Amino acid sequence: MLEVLLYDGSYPGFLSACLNALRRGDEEVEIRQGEEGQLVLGGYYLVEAGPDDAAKMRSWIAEQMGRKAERWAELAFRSEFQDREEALLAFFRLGLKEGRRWDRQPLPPEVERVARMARFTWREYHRWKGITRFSRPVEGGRYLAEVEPSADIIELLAAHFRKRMPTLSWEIRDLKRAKRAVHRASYHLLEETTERFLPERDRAFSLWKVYYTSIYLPERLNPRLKRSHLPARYWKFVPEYVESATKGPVVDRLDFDSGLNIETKIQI
Amino acid sequence: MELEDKLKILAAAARYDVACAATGLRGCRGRKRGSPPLGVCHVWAEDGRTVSLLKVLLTNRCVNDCAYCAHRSSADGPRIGFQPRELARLTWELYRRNYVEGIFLSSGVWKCPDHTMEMMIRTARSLREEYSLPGYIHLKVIPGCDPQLVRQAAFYADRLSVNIELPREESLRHLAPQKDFQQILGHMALLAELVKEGKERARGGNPRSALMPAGHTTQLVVGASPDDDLAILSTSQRLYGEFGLRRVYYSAFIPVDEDPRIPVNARPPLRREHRLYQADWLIRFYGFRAEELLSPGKPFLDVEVDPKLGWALRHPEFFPVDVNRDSKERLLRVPGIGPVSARRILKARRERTLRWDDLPRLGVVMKRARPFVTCAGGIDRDADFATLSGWWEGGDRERVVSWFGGEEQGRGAQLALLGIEVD
Repeated sequence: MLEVLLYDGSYPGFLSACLNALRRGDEEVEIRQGEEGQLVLGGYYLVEAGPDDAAKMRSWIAEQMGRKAERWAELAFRSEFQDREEALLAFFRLGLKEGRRWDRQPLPPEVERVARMARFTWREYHRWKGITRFSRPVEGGRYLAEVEPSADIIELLAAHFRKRMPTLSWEIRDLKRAKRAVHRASYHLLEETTERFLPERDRAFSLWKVYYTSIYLPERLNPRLKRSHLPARYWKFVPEYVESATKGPVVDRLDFDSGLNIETKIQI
Repeated sequence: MELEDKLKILAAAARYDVACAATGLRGCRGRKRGSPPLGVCHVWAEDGRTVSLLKVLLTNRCVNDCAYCAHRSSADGPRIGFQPRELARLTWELYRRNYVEGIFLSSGVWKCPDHTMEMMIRTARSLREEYSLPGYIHLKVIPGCDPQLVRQAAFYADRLSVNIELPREESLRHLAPQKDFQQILGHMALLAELVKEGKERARGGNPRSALMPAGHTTQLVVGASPDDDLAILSTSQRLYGEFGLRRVYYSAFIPVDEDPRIPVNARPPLRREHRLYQADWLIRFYGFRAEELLSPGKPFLDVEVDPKLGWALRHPEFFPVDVNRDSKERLLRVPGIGPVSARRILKARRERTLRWDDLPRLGVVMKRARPFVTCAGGIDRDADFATLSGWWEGGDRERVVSWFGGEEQGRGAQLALLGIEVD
């Protein structure tokens, strides 16, 4: 009979559930995010997010499957894909059976699935490292940024900015997940929040706008390439894109061979 | 003059320099700074080029009169410059809002090379010491400056570069009479020494004293002189070999002013620039030599197909390559197989014999590779490389291009890397 292990939605909770599932051997098990109320249904078990179990599972992954597997697993979990629990459990079962040979070529289907999820999170993280924009300092000289990534990457972003701006105070808010990372030179905090703020345009932004509009070469105009680097769904988070998009005609296409610019209006 | 006005003029003047990457720190055991090894792009300009750094000139005042340059001494227009601390503050303001990863600072030659270089070093010093900028600093070396100044600059910068601009001494003398080709090579030799010294220092356990951990680069202008692709690629090859450059950038010449010394180009040679980047990639990562890709009898790269496919079509005697037996070097010669897929093939074939179905899963672009390889499934009779090669050599190039499904098939990722889009 299929048994369902419920966990609290956190990564440590998920790892605890995975450890539980692996201990059950070949039993048919499914891991789902859920709450205590679901326990009235038969075959549902709630797995507590015990730090010991999570740590045990982490070190098992590192030892049995290697650091790369540990990194991929966390990235895949952060992708928030619907089938991530199933994919990761299959991945760990493969590791249990084959150890470090899981990354042989061509990749087994269980690994390809996890790799796809990990790549998605990595790309999202890489993009947001670039387009996260901090406003002018507010209370206490803190710089604020709001983000809406498609994967749960706020911890990764916070780690990146902690290294990049170690001496400044800043806060990053993930509007989708109502979480924020707060950094002061001496401490770092991750907590839930639903607060919003309206970024103000200051002199630094107007200087940036001057810079942005001065640097492109009309002879090389290529908005399609621009779009391929940063898909339009991200543009609303990049103020200079928003402003240039509201100004009207945007050259849509460059005839590569002739070097002639063909102007058309595009809808943003 | 207002800061906005200076920024507008000096950013526009610097945009012809194509390098803007804040990369090259991968594997460096240099100063622990904030720039990640892969680099971060903050925004893409309207021409599709990445914007990672605040790329500006310190000043557009210049004593040189280079024919290809927008701010040469004989050109019209306002002459202005930043003060080092003013520019350092501007960079810091943009850095802490995460608009840029750091600064790419170039300059016209203001008074003399030493004076200009000193001003650039003051800017970099201010960023590192007053603002503790952990970000990326790329400084141009002003040709003719004192080697001691280059050494100082190396201490503050992640990357230094000196632009050689043209592939031959005569071309440079003709278009930029104040520049000395040998002197530029001398600067490159010094930069190579500094990179080596920096690595040794870092190895010696003092990572804070590493010099320019992201190495050095240069730029070649394409289309400003009659130099052919063979001359350009031979020069690049020599620079990589002798001076250990991280990158040679190619910049399609855009005429900014009329000058009898430069050819009249109706438009920048973007496709030629693109082919040169591809060929450069083949030299750096695929083991090709410039003289294999081109010869005195054929000194320009093919326009219709990329250099690797062009080479394969001219060398039917080299194929087919057996993916189950041949060496990595031979695999890398096959169109549609890159360093990653070659590595995967070597790994996969240790365990079993590869069949046609396995190849796409290893990252091989089948549309391009199929005519040139064999595997456990034998040769694909519908894709005969000798026939394709015959069409190509017989002048039926369109047929070959259309066989491969249009010449840009399967190169999306590479094009994106090169910052070029083809319709």
